[in-house]
Amino acid sequence: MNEFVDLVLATARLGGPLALAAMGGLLSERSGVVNIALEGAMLASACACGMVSASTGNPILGVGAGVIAGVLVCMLHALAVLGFRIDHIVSGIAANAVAFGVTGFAIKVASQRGVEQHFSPLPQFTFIATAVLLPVMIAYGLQVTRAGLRLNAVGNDDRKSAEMGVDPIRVRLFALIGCGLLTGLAGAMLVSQPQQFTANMTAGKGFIALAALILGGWRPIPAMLAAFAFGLFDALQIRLQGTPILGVQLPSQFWASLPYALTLIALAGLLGKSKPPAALGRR
Amino acid sequence: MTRFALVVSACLGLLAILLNLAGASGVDVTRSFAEGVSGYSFDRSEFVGFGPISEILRRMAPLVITGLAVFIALQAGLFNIGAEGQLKVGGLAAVSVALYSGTPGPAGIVFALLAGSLAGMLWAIPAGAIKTWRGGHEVITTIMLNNIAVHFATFLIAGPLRKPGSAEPATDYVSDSLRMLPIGDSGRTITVYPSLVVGIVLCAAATWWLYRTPTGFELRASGANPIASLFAGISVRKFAFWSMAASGGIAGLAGGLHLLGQEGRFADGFSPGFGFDSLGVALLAGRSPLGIVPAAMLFAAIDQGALRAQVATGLPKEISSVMQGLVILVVAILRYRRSYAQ
Repeated sequence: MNEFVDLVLATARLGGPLALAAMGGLLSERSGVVNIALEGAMLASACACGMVSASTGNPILGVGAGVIAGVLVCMLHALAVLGFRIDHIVSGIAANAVAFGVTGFAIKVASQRGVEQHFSPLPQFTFIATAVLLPVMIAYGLQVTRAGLRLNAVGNDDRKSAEMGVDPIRVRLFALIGCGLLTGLAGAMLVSQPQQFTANMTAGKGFIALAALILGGWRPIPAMLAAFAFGLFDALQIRLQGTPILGVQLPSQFWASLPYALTLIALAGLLGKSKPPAALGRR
Repeated sequence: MTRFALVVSACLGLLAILLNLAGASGVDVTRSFAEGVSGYSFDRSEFVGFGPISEILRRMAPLVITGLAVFIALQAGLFNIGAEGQLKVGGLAAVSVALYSGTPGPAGIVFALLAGSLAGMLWAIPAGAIKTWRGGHEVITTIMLNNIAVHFATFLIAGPLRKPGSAEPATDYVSDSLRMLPIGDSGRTITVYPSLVVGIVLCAAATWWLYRTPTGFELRASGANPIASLFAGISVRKFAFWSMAASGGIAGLAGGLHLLGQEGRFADGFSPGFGFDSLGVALLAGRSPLGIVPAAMLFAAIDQGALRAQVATGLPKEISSVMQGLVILVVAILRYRRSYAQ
């Protein structure tokens, strides 16, 4: 029983950041903006949250700083994509490179100066609760509120929406701000676990959140479940190392690769086909 | 133009803020950066040696070939983020064949490189197939394949392929007769890296192929305007699939060439993200594959200069990836403005 509770908690801790980032990606992609900058936004947020929490001793300020950093990265993406109309993926690659560089730079400068990095974070429970409740709220909001309907409309047909008097650029700008907020929370949750920022600590988690979003068919609650499924595999991988299954002892790398292989299988359409928003990536 | 000037000054502003944060002086950093890429010493007012230039050539060699891999996929409208994984798998295959096939000399090298290329291609094919027949986005599938490649490589070099009797997770070194060692004395003359020569030749060949042959034209057309291409009777799907496969093959070749030419064995973390840097290189290259060569040189020079600036002034070398990201942004904005004006 204890082991089971342990596993559930580990799943929630590992899956939470993915679920939050997937919700950020959902806002962005449902409005029609491809956002691989999730990775960079999460990294920037983790860095800002870790550093501000450590230097002020106030984890709430830290989360605030993390959210601001996430929004900043998404605004860089918005400037490039909405302002200059460059390709969404090109902009995402550039934003990720900048975020990777700036955060690596900042942590190195901080450690050169001997700044204390360790901090006492907000309880994980607050983050986990947010990661579970937000998708439900977003699912409701997308179907019922005016903002949610506009987001959908722009994501499905931006030209028609513009003719109907809904400005796609404005809606996408707000969607990207929302994306930055949620991805910022994801980064803050991520850095709250080791309670200290380390260079490149997201290590591809932003991309896995995107995969969860796609696995969930761009719908909030399925995407959240997919994110927690990734968390479960991650938690299992640590526990199943060296345990023989049906008499065969599989290497730990097999378990570590399994979620990615499952995503491939899902994208191959073997788990049912999912349909992206129609105007996704349109410039 | 004003908007463009604003973007450039914003980029310079960001770099200035970072310099300020690190407490480094802009003049010192620029100076050591320039010394690091040119081999000229400002203190002694003389040319010190070809060391830095050779080092840039060494760094750009894997970027040229991997950049070409990404470029070929990009021509068909696909983003091959998986070059990193294909490079790893290709390197792994090339080193295993070099270690265990027992074929010596040039034939052995060709054999190993073919194996690397084939492995890279096989690693890219799932992404190409899922994109072509199921519509799954290649950015996600190639990232998943990258992650699987990392675990696969870790498993092999920790277990079956590990050098016998060694605790380090790495393969044995391949024999010298299978190495493609650089020619020239680093420092006194410019060093020539065989893998760089192969890369430049491949880029030239690709330019000819893309711009002088019907298949090359069809590939470019299918990427530039898929709908018009369909009406012109071009099989867009076929080109999407094969360009991804070819891209993987070239990236696998890059892995093999890098390991036989520079590292000599497969160790964990031999690639500091060549596959990711090559995305920027391919985006910078413009329309012709020959543009990859100067683009790779720029990226290599940024890395090299930043490393030198770190040694001389203590400025963290991570500034290089900030600069590379900003270069991608600025060039993408410039190119958009040009196509918009037409």
